[in-house]
Amino acid sequence: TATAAAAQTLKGHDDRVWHVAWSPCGKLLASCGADKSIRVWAKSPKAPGAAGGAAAASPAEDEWLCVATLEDTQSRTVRSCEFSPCGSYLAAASFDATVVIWQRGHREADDGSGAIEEWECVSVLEGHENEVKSVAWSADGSMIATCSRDKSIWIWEAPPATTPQARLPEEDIECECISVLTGHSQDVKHLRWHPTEPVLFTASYDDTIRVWAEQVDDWGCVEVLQGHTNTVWGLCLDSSGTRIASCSQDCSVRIWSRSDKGTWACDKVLDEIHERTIFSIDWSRDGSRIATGAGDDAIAVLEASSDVVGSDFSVTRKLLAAHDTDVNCVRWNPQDSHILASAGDDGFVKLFFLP
Amino acid sequence: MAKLNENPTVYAVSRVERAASVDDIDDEDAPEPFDATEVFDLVRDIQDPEHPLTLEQLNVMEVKNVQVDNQKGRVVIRFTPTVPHCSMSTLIGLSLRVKLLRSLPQRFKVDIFVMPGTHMQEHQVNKQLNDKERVAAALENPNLLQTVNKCIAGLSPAA
Repeated sequence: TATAAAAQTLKGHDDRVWHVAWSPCGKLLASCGADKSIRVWAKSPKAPGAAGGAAAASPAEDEWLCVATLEDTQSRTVRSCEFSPCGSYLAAASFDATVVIWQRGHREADDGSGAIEEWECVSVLEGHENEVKSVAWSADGSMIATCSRDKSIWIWEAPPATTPQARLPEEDIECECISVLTGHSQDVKHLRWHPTEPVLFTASYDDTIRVWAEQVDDWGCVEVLQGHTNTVWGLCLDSSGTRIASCSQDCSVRIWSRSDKGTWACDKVLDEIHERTIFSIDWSRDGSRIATGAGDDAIAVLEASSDVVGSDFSVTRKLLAAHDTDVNCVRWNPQDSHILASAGDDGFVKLFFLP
Repeated sequence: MAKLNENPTVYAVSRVERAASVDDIDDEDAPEPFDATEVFDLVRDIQDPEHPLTLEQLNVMEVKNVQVDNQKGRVVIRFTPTVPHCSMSTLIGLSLRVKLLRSLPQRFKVDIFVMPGTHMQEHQVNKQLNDKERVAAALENPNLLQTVNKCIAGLSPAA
């Protein structure tokens, strides 16, 4: 297993970077961390190499720059951030117990020098008792879910979909709490929505994964997935929503699939990929690859051994020393399953171009 | 406030001088090697949060309970709380972690546990001390960080 063909290091954060997230169009990358800021990165409009403005021969040659720094709103580590499905909002979860919604504005500079990114904080969601660890937008963009060390999950109304050119005034944005979910016996580390249905999946310090859905009147837990023998740090679903891949402090990845009855069962345990805690896992949009990021400083890429649905995943690449120390987050670009972004304790954001 | 352990046993400490190793002095590329004694030296003088004594003097830390794998870059530390219900264990564990984070090269991964059978909530304490996110959040608490820094600096918070 060789090291990556091409990689780029994005420097700017002053402390560990906990999380990265792509915009739905795949053109913006947001990162956040212990320096209490969020940075938004985009490809430089300038063409690389020779004059004449030729397009880059490969995505690896595009230069990525920091186009915005969002700070001075949350007083502690920003642990996680996610773009809305419409791409115009960024929700950010902090150790200061708040979740903040930023709205994106985009306008042409008066002097014709190009486009300007303007981000404005339009809402603060308060309710959690302590550190908020993860935030996620439902597939249709109507709800936001958040989770915390307080063991609960909150579901909120999301702001209405909009475009960067038509910003909504702050007064028109109200994110009411829809429901507060309890059940986990310990911190809830991470959550993700099902790709199509209003169903929520949570990963916890209590070693389990829980599935939540709206039943009759209110939201409730519909299933508890047991199997991991230590904290579950992350999970992801494939785009069909029929498989889950989870990662844990027990140094394993588990693949779960959904039966006809709708219940989940663990098909596979992969415990020889990493020797330290696996902090993050992500499934590419086209379903062909799973990436993991771990405390052994490595990123692994898993691929299915055949096209047969349900076939085994095995490691096809292991990027050793992907970061100088722990890898905290890995995310596939939603528009290009060959581009992977990562965040590390070394304070860097990295882009990997994997053929 | 009454101390949890009013009369701790105090142990004699050893100061064995070790000859410096000349093997790798000229090899600038060799990662600086560490062994258990060197790691122990980094933590032996950390103050106990409750008593104006070091972890070594209270036998909370012993060199035999430090394991270093220099090749793999791994350190495993086991410490013995002074009493089985010791609520200071988390503080001691955090002090150990912070001291090593600041002193060891980045390549070392550190795991910290209480000695098996020495704490009533062994599993919970171990889990907390090895959860990177919980540790990071705890150290953002200025009061806690100040206490940890005092213990590391050899200034007793109990004084």
